[in-house]
Amino acid sequence: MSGPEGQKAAGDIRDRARLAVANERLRLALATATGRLLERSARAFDTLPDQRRAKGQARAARQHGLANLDVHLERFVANCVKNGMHVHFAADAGEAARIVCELAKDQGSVIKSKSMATEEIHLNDALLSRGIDVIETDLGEWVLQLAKEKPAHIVAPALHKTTAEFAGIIGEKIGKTLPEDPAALVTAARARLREEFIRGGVGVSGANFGVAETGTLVLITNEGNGRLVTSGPRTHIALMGIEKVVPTLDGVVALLRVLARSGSGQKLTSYTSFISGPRRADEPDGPDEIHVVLLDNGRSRTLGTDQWESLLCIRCGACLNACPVYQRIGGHAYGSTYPGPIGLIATAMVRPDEESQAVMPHASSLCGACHEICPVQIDLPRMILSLRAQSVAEGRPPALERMLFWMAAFVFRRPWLYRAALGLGAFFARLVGRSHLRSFGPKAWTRSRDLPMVAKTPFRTWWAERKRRP
Amino acid sequence: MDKEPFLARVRAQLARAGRWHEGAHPDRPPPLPDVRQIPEGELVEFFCRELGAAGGQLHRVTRAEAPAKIAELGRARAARTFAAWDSPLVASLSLETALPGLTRIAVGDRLTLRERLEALDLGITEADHAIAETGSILLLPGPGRSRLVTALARYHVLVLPVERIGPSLTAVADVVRGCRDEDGRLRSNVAVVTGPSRTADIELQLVTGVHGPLELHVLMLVS
Repeated sequence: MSGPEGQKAAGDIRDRARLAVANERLRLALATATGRLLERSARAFDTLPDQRRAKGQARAARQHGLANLDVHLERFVANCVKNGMHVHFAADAGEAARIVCELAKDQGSVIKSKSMATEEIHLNDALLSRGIDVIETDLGEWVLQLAKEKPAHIVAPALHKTTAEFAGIIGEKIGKTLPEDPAALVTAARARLREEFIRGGVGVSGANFGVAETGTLVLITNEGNGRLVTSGPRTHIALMGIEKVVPTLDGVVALLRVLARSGSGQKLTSYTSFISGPRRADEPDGPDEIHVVLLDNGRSRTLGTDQWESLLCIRCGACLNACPVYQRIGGHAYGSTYPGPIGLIATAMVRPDEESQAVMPHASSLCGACHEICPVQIDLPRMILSLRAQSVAEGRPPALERMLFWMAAFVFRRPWLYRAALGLGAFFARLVGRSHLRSFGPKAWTRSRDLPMVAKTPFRTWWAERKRRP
Repeated sequence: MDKEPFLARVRAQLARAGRWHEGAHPDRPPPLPDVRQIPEGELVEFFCRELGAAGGQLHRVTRAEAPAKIAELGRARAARTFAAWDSPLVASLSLETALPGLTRIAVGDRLTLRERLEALDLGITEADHAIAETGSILLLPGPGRSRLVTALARYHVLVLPVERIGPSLTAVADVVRGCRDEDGRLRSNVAVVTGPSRTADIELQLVTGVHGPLELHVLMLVS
């Protein structure tokens, strides 16, 4: 994991978050970007007559697919094959990368359309290590590839980069000094990447949805790169998580209505492709071969557990924008393919380790903004809490923390002891005095907050007296 | 992994989750009544407004005026080459006559098509459907209908008879389902295009014309 401002050397999310928060330029960029994305999205939703209903339909379409994923996945596979596509099955990230590399070898360079699933399996590293050249064609992803960085956001991967940084990176690649003007930079990138679109031998994409009823891949992009990647090369390889299966095309329409609104504030992205097979004999162009690589990587074992809702995710990135933690620490601090609130859950699913299960679940204030903004109404705070509970049940918290909570539980279960503890607390607090009280409290807590004085009369006593009054 | 053990894992997990699986029969999808109703009378105006909002450019012309309009667009953009779909409506525009001085790039050989279309200025096609709700046009595949002509052209110009505009995005589902070749096989690719290609990757500033066309011109054919 590399990131800006020396995040590479940092230990876990806590260290990386500390570094990110200290970076004022990053915080300003994050505040501006997330604010703008939220505002654009809200405006786009306002154009729907009944947005609650639209979100409800989108969720229903996804939920119906997941509750019967066995049936719909099998149907999807059968229909893809009927349509002349090849389907491959990858149990984990390593297997998926091996399959794609095997399919892509000896066919020239790979041109890629933006895909989070390929990030999840670290496909670029795998391809390059086997000597297969790979070029990202989404503008933001391309610049990050040149800068050897990972995406910092699901939808706007380079939102932490300034125009000047874009100019520097693209300029260095093409050997020219470029002005700090987005339009000029896009023109330069277009010219350079055009060469790749013309010569690319294999197109690799993700899939936003897979339609079971027809065996169709749905792919959305704004830049038109998705259409070029899936139309020009002889071979198209699509990597798709199994949870992306949607039973019907009508369900996809319900999802499209909320996806772009939520992700980029558009009613629909510029290009929505429905791919139902390779070029037919009478068609002038299109790939000769389409390979669909289905990725499990922790998804199947999440079905039906209390984390299942995370599989509803359509990767719009809205929960990142709304999250007060993401707004301050940005995507790289999470140290995972998936940042933000959904990233806390998705990382525990695809990369179950000490950090994702015991540390990351605490990178949330549980304020509920993510749940509120989610276009498929995923109850993220509930799942984050459940991850914390799981980590406690497995005995992960430090001994001191466990002892304190055990003591608290002991006291809370005994009203007489609780009353006594309150009285004792108030007595000692007054004895020490407000200004010294803070030095007794937990330092991490009181560094940025006040520890208030314990009231003279406990609430319970006050309440009992108040009730006695006529 | 083989198909069977892969699917078996999903099946086994759903079986374990028993209760969660109930109440949602695989063949009884939730009802999805259309949430977007556009009155018949407002259809065309709605489409024009949404196309504009998405960055597309609209030209209202009669069928007879269309070739001259395309020539005018080409002149204004110093176009030197064009390629067109071989569909009945596009063929009826007699483009060779309408665009003197422009070189036509024949679609022809598939293996060299990308190289030959690299310098394509005007890609001229037709839309079989349009959606008022989002200002989108639908590009359908078939004989003579090259996808790359619409993706590599600097300017995408398409003709759309006004009666092909429908109200709602829900029509896309029916179009995709029904887009089949003579053997009843689904065709390869249906594209829903909403405005020219665009990006907001640089500090969220909108720039149109990235990898796809720089401009999208819709010639709406009215009588």
